Amino acid sequence: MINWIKGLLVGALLLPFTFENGADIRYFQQSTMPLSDSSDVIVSSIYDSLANRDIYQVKTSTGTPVHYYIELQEGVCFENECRPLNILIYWNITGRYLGFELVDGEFLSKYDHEPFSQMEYKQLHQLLADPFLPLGNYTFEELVKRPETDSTSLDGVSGATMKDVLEYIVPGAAYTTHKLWNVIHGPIQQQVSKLTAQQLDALLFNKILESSDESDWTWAIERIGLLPDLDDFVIKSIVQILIEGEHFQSYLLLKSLSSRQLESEHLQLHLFNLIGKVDFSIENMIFDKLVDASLLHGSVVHASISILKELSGAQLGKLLKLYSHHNIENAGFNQELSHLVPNENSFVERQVLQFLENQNQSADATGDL
Amino acid sequence: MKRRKMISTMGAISLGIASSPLAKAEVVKKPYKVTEKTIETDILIVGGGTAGVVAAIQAGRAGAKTILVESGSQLGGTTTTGGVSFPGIFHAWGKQVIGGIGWELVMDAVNLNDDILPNFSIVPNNTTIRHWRHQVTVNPALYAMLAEEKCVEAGVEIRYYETPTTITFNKGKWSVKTVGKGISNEIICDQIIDCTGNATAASIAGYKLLREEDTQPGSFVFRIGGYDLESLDLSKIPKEYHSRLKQNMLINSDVKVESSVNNFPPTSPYNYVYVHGADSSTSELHTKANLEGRASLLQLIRKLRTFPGCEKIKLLDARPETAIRETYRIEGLYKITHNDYVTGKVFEDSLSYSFYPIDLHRDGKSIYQEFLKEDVVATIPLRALIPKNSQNFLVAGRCLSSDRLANSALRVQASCMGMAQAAAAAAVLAIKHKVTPADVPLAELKSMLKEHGGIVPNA
Repeated sequence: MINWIKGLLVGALLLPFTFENGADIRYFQQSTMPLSDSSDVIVSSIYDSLANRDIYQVKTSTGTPVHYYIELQEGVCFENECRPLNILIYWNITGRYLGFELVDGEFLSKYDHEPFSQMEYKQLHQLLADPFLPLGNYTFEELVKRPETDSTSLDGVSGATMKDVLEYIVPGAAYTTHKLWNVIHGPIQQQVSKLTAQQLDALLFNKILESSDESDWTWAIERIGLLPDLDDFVIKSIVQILIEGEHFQSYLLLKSLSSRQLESEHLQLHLFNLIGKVDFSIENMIFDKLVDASLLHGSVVHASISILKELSGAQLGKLLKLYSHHNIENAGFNQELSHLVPNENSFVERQVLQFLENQNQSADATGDL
Repeated sequence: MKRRKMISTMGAISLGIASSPLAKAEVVKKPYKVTEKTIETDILIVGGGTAGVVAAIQAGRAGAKTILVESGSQLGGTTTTGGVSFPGIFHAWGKQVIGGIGWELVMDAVNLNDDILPNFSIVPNNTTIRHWRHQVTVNPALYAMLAEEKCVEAGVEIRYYETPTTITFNKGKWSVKTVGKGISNEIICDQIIDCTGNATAASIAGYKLLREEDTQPGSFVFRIGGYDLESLDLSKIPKEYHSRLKQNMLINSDVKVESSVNNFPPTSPYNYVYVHGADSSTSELHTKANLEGRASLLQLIRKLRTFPGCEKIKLLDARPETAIRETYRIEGLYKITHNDYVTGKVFEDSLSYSFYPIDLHRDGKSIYQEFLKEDVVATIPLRALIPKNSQNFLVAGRCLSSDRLANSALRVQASCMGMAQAAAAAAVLAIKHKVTPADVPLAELKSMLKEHGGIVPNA
C-alpha cells in the first residue's frame, strides 16, 4: 500500500488544482514542498495514540518532510444500510489541509447513497479547506435533529440541519462534511505540525517562506525560535519580512525570536539598521525586542549614534531605556546625545538630561570618571 | 502585695500609651476651605478617556506644556473604567491603519500581560470571521497604569477628580474654571481639546451641539462564573437567557492559543446589560445610568441563579461605570456623513483613518450593521474636530462632527485614538504658528503626525 501511494505521490499528486482522473478522485491545494523537487520519497508511519491511528509522513530521501496523510475508514449509513468509506486525507507540512483522495473506485455519497457530483466534491474540498467554519463548535448530534431510532454513524439523518450551519455542509452529506472537517482540523493537524517543527532547520524554514500560502509563512515565522542557528539566508528573510511583510507577521517574527538568537551581533545590527526603513510600530517593536537580548553589542551602540537626531522623542526614549536596561555607558554616544541639549522640545531635553544624569551617578558609584 | 504591684505596673503601661508620640500627633483640622489657584499651560485636555490620554501624550511629547483634567480616578475611560477592554479596530484589509500612541499603549499592555495579538493577516469576512476578532484584548488595570505612566513621562500634569464649570475666551487665551475636591482653579491656556465624549467643554464654551431624540443604549459590563455551560440543560432555561450564559463563557480566559496560523487569541470573558438612554453628560444622568446598570445586573444574576445548573453563579467582576455609546456631537466645520464613511472618502485635511462597520444599537434589541466594502477605509478630516465659529478649540472622540450613522462607526476606540493624536498635533502647531487649528499648515501637521507614529491617509 505504501509503495503504491509512493508511486502515486511521485506522479501528479501535488498539482495545485483539483482534478479527477479515471476512477480515482483527488482534490488538492498547493503544497509547500512540491514532490518534483525531490528524486525520492520515503513514507513512514507514525502511530498517533491520541487519534488511535497511523499518520504517514512522506519525506524526501534527505529526510525533509513533504506532507502527511491518514487512511480514514468510516461507515456511512442510511436506513440501517451502511457501506464502508475509505478516504485518504492529506496535510501540508505546516498542518494546513492539503486535500483528499478516493482510490480504487471509492466515492462519496449522500444520505440516500447518491454519489457526490463533481460540484459537490468541489464544494466539500472548499469547505474542508476553510479552518474558520463553525463545524468544530457543534457535535454531529447538535448539527442535526436526530430521529429517536437512528444509529450513531450516518449520513442517513433526515432531520433538519441546524439552520445557521446549513451553508457549511454539502447538502445531504452532513455527517461526511462534519466528520471530515473535524478530523482535518482536529488533533491530527496539531500532531503533524509538531512533527514538522521537530525537524525545522534553516533550509526548511526558508523553503516554507517560499510558499504561496501566507498561513505557511505565519507557521514558520512563529517557530523561528526553534532554529538553532540563524544563517545569512534566514537573516535575509527576517529583514525582508520586516520590510515587506504584513504587520502581523513582523510582530510575530520579532515576538518569536529567542533570547539566545538575539545574542547574535549580526542579527542585532541588521535589526537596528532597519530603524528608519520600516513602519514606526515595527521600529518600536525592534527597540522593545532588543531588551530581551542578554547583552547589546557595542557595534549597535555605535550604529545608533548616527541616527540619534532622526529619532522622534518617543523613540529616543525607547532607545535610552534600552541602553539603561543594558547598562550601556559609551562616551561617544553620550557626547552625541549631549548635543541634543538644549532642545526646543522639553520632552526630548528632559529625557536626555535624565539619562546623562543617571550615567554620571553610575560613574560616581563605580568610581569611573 | 503582688496584686497591687501588678495594678501599678498596668497603670504605668497605660499612661505610657496615652502619652505616646502617636497620640500627640493628632491635630484638629482647620476649617474647610477651598483652595483656589491659577494655572497656566499651553494645552488643556478635558477628559482622560480613550481619546484624552492619547491627545495628552501627543501634546506632551511634542513639547507643549499640557494639563489633563479627568473627573474620575483613573485614565482610559471606556477602555478601562467602562470595561470595553478590547479596543479596535487598528487594521484593515491586512494593513495597519491606526498606529501611533494609541497602538503603542495597546502593545505595551499586550506585552506586559503576555497576551498575543489577533492574526490581522486574516481578513474578517463577517460570516465565519467577525470583525471584532481584530479587536485587541487588554488588561484594563494595566492599560490605565501605562497610560498614566506615559502621560507623566511626557510631562503631562494629570488632575483627577476635576471638572470644568465655565470656559471663556479672552484676548487669545482660554480661561477654564474647574472644581474638584477642595479645589477651585482657573486654568489659562492657549488651546483646549475636548475629549469628554459628550462635548461637555464645547457646550460650556457655547458651541452648538447636536443630539438624536433616541440615543443608543449604554452597556454595563460584567463577568460571571460559577457554572459550567457544557453541562447546562438549555432546554430548561428560557431562550432569552442563553446568550447571557453563552457569551460569558464563549472563550475561556485560560485557553492559550498554540498557533497563530488560523487562530485568534482568546478574548476576555465579557458580558453586559444594556442601559437604555444612558447618558454621562451630567453627574445626575451618569448616576442614573450607573444605578440602572447595576440594578439590571442584580436582577439578572438573581434570575440566572434560579435556573438548573446556575444555582451557584457568581459575579466575578462589574465595572465601576456604565459605558456610554452616544450622547452629543459637535456641529463642526465639516460633518462626516454616512456616505463619506462607507465610500472611504479622503479629504485634503484627512489626518487619520477609521475602520469599523456602521454599528447602530437601535432599540437595545437589534444592531444595524453595514460592513465596509473591500479595501475601503474611512478617514477623519481635521475640520470634523473643530466646532463651527470656534478658535483654538478642538474635540476628539465620539463627539466629533458626524451624522448618526457615520458616528456609530467613528465612535470606536481605535478611531478615537487616531483622531486624538491628530487633534493634539494640530493644537501644538497652532500654538507654534500663532493660528487657530483650522489654519495650521497641513503638510507640517501630517509630517508631525508621521514623526510620532501616526498613520496619515495619502501622506
